[in-house]
Amino acid sequence: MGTVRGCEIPEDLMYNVENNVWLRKEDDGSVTIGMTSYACALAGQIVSYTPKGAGKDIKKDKSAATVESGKWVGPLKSPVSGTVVSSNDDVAKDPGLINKDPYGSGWIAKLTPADFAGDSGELKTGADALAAFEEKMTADGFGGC
Amino acid sequence: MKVSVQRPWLVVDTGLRPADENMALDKALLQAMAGGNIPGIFRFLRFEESALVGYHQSPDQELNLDFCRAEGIAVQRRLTGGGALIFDPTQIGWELVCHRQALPKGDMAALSREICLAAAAGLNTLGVKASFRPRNDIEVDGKKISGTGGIIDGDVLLFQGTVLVDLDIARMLRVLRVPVEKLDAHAISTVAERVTSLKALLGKAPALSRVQEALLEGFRQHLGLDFNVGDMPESVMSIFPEMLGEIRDPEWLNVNTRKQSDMPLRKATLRAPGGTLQAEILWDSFGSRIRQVHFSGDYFIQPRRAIVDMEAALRNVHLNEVDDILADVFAKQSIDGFGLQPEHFASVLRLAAEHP
Repeated sequence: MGTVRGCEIPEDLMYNVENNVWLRKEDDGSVTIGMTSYACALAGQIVSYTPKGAGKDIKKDKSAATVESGKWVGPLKSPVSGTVVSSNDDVAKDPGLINKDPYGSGWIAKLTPADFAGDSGELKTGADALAAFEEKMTADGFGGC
Repeated sequence: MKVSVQRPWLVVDTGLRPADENMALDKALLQAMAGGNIPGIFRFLRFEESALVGYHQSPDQELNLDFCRAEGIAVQRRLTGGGALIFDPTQIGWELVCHRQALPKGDMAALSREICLAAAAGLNTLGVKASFRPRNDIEVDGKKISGTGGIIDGDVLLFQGTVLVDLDIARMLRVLRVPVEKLDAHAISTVAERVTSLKALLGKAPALSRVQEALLEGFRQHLGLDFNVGDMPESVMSIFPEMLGEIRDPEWLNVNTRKQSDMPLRKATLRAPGGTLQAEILWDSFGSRIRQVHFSGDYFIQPRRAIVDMEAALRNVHLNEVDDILADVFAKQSIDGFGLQPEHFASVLRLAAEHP
């Protein structure tokens, strides 16, 4: 598990660092996406989650779900284009799961990607992701998780 | 906290409008800010009588829709988070739309705090003693005078607030669902202990222009912002009709259509060493969340504002969180409940939630 300023950033996942989202390619070709622990730290306790419904087509860098924390609303932008397969019923009942387990039970959406090879080229992983998050945290003036 | 030198913000007063137009302007502002070279916008907005739910809220759960329909009160959904509120032409809305780097660095809670401190500083120039109350309220002596909320989309954010210049509490209680069983004179006095207005504080309502200037002065003082007054940029107005079409699509209002029966009013009473404590709650049975709480009963507690601070801290929280939240409020305020402890407040909340 990689760590940047106390924020867990698993090195086996792919990231859109600018949008603070992670992506995991599943064995069946689908992708799971979610908020990074850094995004959770910036947001604070998440109290609401409204996902796009199954079957909805999402364009790359467009909202797959909306979350709310401390009266701030924000979209979770999908790192790739695709069709929503499922949203997370457990998170709908308890949005705080996103804070507790952002890379596990707090996942945001599962999608069937439209063009994974084409869309994923700019995503970062491993040491590159850690370095990019360090740079982003510096730019954001972020002290640490 | 001052931000670094930047181009002046554009102050735009969009006047009195229907709620759907104000929401459409918010959408247009966000889109234009993301795509164009426009300065930070400080907008003043007013509403024809409206009931506005927060982005994630269900109108049926938060509002008395039959009353709204009968009275011709518009029902709309904000782009921003937080709870339901009423707007009428006496109230002033204010909002900032800008790129993230135009405001102080920090997490979202810190950013809310800085903006609310600026707004409170402005209200203080009117002769009241306004201060920030976490998470996102501005209060005077424990009474809320301004609520706020925001949206952040990538690099662009919109943060908005209200100023209660005058307030018809009886009408508010008929529009908004509140955790009070009987809407009577006692209910009105209960709300009057928790909400206030500039008119109530100053004896008469100040002119709207005076309130606007005070708010701008607060943002000048606290955040070092510089303002020019002008018209809404063409890049915003050119997409306004399209945005209005999106807002008027029923899909916009009905993102969350959970039923009122899934958020019942429940109450419980607890006899504790320090007295009798009653909690009335709006209980979100789907998410196991306390959406709003009203404490009453026969007890003594110091400081007097402890009850309203607990109620504010317990808005929209999961039942599992109440112990930590109450312990934190008790510790921070050195609350003396004359025998009433945080666990008694937590217990009465659980009783209300779990034993309908």
